[in-house]
Amino acid sequence: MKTNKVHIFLRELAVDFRWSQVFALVCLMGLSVLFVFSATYHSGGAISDEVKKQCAWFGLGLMGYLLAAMLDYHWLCRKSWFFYVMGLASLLLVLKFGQVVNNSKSWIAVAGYQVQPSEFAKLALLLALCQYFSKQADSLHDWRGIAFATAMAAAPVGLILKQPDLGTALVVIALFFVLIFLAGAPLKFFAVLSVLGLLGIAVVGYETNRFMAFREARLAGRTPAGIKFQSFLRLKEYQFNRILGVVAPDKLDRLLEGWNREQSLIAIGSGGLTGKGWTKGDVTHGGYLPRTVAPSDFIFAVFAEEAGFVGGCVLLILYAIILVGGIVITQRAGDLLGRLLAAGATFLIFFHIFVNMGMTLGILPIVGVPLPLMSYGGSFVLVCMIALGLVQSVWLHRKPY
Amino acid sequence: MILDRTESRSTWRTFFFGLMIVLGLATLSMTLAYRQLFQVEKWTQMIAQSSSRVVKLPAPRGRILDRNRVALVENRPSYNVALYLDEFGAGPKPGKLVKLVRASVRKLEERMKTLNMPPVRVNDHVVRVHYDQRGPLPLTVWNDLSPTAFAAFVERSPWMPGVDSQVEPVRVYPFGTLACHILGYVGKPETSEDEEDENFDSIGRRAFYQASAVGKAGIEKTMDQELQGTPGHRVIKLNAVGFKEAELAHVAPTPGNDVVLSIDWEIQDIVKDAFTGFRGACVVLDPRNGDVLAMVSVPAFDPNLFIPAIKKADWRTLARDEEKPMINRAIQAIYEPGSTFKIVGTLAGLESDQITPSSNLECGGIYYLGDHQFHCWEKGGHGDMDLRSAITMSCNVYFYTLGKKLGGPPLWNMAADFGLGQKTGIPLDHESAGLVGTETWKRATYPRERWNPGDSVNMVIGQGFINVTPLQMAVAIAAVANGGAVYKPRLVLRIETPEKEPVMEFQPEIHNRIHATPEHIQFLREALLNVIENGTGASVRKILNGAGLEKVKVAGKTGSAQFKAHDPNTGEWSKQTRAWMIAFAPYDEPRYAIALIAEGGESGGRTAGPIIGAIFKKLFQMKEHKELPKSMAVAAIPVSTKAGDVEGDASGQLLGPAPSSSEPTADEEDDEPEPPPAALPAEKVNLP
Repeated sequence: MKTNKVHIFLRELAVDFRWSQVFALVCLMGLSVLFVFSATYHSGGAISDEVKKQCAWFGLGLMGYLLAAMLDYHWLCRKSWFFYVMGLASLLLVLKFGQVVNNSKSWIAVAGYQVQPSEFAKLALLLALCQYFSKQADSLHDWRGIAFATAMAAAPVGLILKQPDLGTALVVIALFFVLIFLAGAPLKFFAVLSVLGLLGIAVVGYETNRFMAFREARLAGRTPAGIKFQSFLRLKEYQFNRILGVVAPDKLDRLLEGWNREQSLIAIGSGGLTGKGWTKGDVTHGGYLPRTVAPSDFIFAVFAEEAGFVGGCVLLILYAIILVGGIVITQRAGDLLGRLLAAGATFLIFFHIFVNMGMTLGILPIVGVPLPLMSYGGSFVLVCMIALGLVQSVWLHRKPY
Repeated sequence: MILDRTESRSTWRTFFFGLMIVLGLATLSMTLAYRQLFQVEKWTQMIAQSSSRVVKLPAPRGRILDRNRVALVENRPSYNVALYLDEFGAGPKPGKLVKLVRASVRKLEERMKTLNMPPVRVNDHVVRVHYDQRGPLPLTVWNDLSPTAFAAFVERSPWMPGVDSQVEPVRVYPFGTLACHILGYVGKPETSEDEEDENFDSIGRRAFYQASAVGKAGIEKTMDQELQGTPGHRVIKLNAVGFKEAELAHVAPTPGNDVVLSIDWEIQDIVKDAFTGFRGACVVLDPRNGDVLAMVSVPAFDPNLFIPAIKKADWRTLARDEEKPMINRAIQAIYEPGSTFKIVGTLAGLESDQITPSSNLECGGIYYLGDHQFHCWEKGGHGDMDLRSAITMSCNVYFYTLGKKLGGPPLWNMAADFGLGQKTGIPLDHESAGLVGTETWKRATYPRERWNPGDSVNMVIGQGFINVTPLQMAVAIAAVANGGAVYKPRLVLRIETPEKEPVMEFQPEIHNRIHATPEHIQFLREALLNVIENGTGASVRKILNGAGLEKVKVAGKTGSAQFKAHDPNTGEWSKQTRAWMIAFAPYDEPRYAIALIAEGGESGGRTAGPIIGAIFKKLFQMKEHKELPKSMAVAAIPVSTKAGDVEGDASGQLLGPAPSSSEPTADEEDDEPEPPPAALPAEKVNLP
């Protein structure tokens, strides 16, 4: 009897499952393995470690995906305080014991695998905020509620900035705004926010301009090489250089600061309509696109070079299936919690796609944000798949049982 | 669960949220289309730019040969150990590369430790700059290893990525200091705007080139264009870590041309060996065509010090040396010619009819001009003198009188005829023009003064407002030797390809003819013969006789210019003599014209004479010159007009060796004219 019940449950699930999402997910996994292989192909024909690890993470990710989809998101969100505390703890741990890679302490070794706690912290914060907003929906109407929510988000953001990992911090901040928007925060708040945002852009613009003058003075030898640019924004020179990469790429030294961006554009642009063919991209395989970042943050450049515009469209369509599906689920969610959760998870995926592709396409500054389900990188693969599982769960558990 | 009232409000928010995502995706797809469909060509073209590089291939530098094609400058292989930065596999990240290089260098040093190698000069900064500017070119760690050290390197350093040996042609001066002032030396080119431009080819690709050495002095500098050759280049397709994938183009360099000098290394060597103990210069010309057979400046330096690059300490030593070994005294230093200038005075006097060979005068040792006294070097006076004996004994009083009679213009004109006061045009750098002081010059220099008789009296014995280079004096004596043709000294005979095909021939060039009758020139020649046979230059005769060369007739003139030298160390002024001698030989068919100056010598006859004697002795003992023409024995033959080397007639009735009208009491002169009332500061000379 009991087995029969489970059987019926599973059959209902199977009928109800959003297979389009699964289809897109499987296609993306396939593409990811193919192009991580291509990006690491130089090591001579053999299947690289990166490909093997990516497959392993996809396996783990699939389990996480199914688990998240099966579990009732209400139950998960009730436990969110636990995840939230765990997330903060892991962020503290990485600050203490983490490894410094590319000047930031974002990685921690767990059983031989490099894990990025900030990725999991994103998910934990998502769950916790959803839980908070759905239970205290009215709290957003007074400033204390907003302040509390802000504090909840500010804690992990502060710790992530400490690593420092500006890209991930921006993701979390954006996620927070999207959630309070959807949770119904008053529009006044967003009016103030946009004014502050414009102000912020103006300040960054001013500082960038000042940095440009500083750079020129140094190149002309008027400023000694040892002196670093001082900005009250606490941004580093390389960060200003990345902004310059978008607004004034000519000002950068093509062989130094401008290298990654330019090579990425060369790879994508030279791909043309149909691309150069799998493993045939000469920018990638010549090593012009730096091999350290090609399979991770710049996987889209590898893909676009070899698969061309046609391939790029296919990829965008696959992403659209997932994202539009996410929007539909958001609209048809069973309750506020489900709507917030589906929207938040969808937004996470979207924001990564937008920032990553935007930077490889040269319209956004380069920040270390990977491309969901394509980039090589364990934690992020897992987090993306769990996020998709959460969206699926919102769909599956939309009806009250 | 029943949806609460927030539902209706949230619908538009969700819609807004969805719209944002859709717009985001639309932006991405449009940008992608723009990049991949509209900008394909732009980015595809940039691939070609970043993946092919132009590497310049330096052309082997041409050699410098002497007149018999003996190489005075050539190239030899230099064995280097170099880093090939692109093969460290660091990709375009200089930071990583610097670390890898540092590790490799440490390992190299470890392995070569026992060999007493010079320290490695590769530091992080050097690596960065090299990588940035000259990527695919090797970065040298050890330059010019000895064969043993190089063999040890090959043995002890089994393959290390990015470290390899490299053979590079470098300049070598096989004769060391010989002719160093003529040959010059090479060095790294100074970075200039032009070279920066050269770093990029026409379509903006970075071009890499090994800076080939450029001439910094001497023939290496003046003939640099010919010696350089044309660099070739390779266009190579590289991947980002610099591994060569394919060679797209290869244009071989054209080696530089060889420069054949008029110098005869044997003669150069003879002069160099004979000229010891003094600073100074000596020039040997062929009076028949103006060929520079030898040009020596003492002290000398070894141009090999500059190869491949001069060490700081060596440079400091050279640059600070009080004796200034880098200066080519033969053309850069100016001296008062002293009594050797009497050849000019003699011809000026004869041509302006102020004197005749038989004009005579009683020398009492002192010449009075107003209340100023001019002394003859012979304190007691020479007694009765005619022109010939005045030249033979270098009588100053005779010439003072002549100078007073002549005044400035005839002297200036004759000096100009001889090419004094003008650059000879020898293809070497920093040649001095010297000075023939004239009325105009004096007024310009000393606004309150005019040319006065005292100036002429001084000038005629080669003191005062007259400065010459040794080369100018050599040209002058060559003109006397050949009957009046003032040649432009020919230092470069021709330029030819390494396969000996002529590229350019330089013909002998007569710069000017002396305005003097053949009779007057011949008179001067005879008098000069007398100087060596019986007069102040008898030291030369003595040496030749001692070597069994009695038949070699030499003509010449001595000179002892006085100047006051300032010692910067002690701050004291001291009187110094510059010993001059100009001479030519053989008298009847002159092949050699020599001018020599020894700074700080005793006198022309005592100091310069023996040196010139030694030079002539060896010159006429040289194999091909041992057989002197038979005509040598016969005095009365015309001045050589062989092979069209002297144009026009230089004939005229020539007399035999003239009997001197007065027997010299001493076999050596000691002409010490009074220091001039005013003289020009010459090289390192200061007069109070």
